[in-house]
Amino acid sequence: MWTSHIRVKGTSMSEAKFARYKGLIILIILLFISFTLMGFSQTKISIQFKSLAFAVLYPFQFAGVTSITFVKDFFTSMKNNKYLKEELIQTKKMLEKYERTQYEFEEIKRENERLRRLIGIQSELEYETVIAEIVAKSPQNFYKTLIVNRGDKSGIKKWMPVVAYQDNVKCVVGKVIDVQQYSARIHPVIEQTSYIGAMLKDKRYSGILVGQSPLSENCLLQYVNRQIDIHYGDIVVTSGMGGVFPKGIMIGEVVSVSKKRYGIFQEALVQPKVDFGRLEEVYIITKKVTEEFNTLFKED
Amino acid sequence: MRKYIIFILWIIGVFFLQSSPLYEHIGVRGVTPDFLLIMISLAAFILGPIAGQIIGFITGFIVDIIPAVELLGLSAFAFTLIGYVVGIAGQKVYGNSVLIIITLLFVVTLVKAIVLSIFAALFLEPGYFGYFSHGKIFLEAVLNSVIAPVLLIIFTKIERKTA
Repeated sequence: MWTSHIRVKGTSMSEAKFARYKGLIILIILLFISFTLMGFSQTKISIQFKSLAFAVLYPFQFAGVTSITFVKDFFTSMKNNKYLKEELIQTKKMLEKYERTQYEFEEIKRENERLRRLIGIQSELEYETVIAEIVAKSPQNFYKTLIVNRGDKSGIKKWMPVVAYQDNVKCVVGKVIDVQQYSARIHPVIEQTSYIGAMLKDKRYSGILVGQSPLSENCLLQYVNRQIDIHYGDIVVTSGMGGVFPKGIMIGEVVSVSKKRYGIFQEALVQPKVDFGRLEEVYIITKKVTEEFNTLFKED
Repeated sequence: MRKYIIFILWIIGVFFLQSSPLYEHIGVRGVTPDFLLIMISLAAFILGPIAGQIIGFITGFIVDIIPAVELLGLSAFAFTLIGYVVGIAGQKVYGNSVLIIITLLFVVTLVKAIVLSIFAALFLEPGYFGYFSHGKIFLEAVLNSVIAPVLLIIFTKIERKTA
């Protein structure tokens, strides 16, 4: 009788204690799971799991984001309807101008090819591109990941370089980091975990361009020879080293230079040419990334 | 149960909004409010710490799947902690709920920034550490604090209407 009473009392006491600390226990368990997930994030299993989870999540995200964009576009188009006629006239004028420019461009291109052949320089390789629309982005401000509506079915492969045309200039956006059947995730050049080979266009000195987001939208050009003078406004382009980006694509302009008292290198802050805020579509260069680079990256 | 459904639907809607390229245009001086953080905080404040942290964990986990950066669990950690803290505060603190929400949102935005900075610096790049002291965070905290009471009022009205 006594034993059973104590047991009942004991059970109810432990239940009461559990109820009291239930929230705290759940908190500890959830924080432990989150921390463990962070610890294993760089493993192959975790990366594959994330890729698979993204493939499952993408259709819902696409449907949701498209609905929001549709509503926004509906109201915007109603508002802009009256300006359409005016825009059409202007577009026709621009088209005529571009047709003339296209003809001149073809002429210059042919002449350039002929001169290159004369002095024995091999033509630069031209790559095919796939146009892709940005359909979503990372919901956290902390990351700048972009999601596009082209994937494996359109011939997109991992590590392919991504560019955009803004103000008639071809400029670097980032590289493809994950490919699904109908979507791909792009790792932008401003992300802090992004490293690309870059060089100063006029001075031809190269370095490594590192992203700074979320701290800044600018990038840092590191490991540039200390002996050269870098000035405000100097153009930075891709160096072609690293195997992902073809050589000579516009990255941005130098906005400041920092030289430490010691060391053999200097650093420059580079403002990317591409405005990520008004980026709507991108071009994925269907360039096969060299196998050596792929292996190297996987080993990393 | 009705409250849970309203919050889940709101969070799904906000998730899509924040994922859309349209979201970039909502901000002030390039800084956008974190609607997900606001919704998780409001859910925790009204539903309590257990519901708050579970909603925070699930939302954070889904948010972590999207970025190309390989760090699963970062947002889940931050949102779980915030869900619990705001839930406890909602139970313990008495007074004008609008004022409490304003203060809480300011504080939890800073807490989120600190958690993200520490773990991203630990697991990704040391450069992430400076994030929490960045001027943008304080502006985001102000935006979140201003928007949260408005959403709280809207939630109360919806809840009453659907009762």
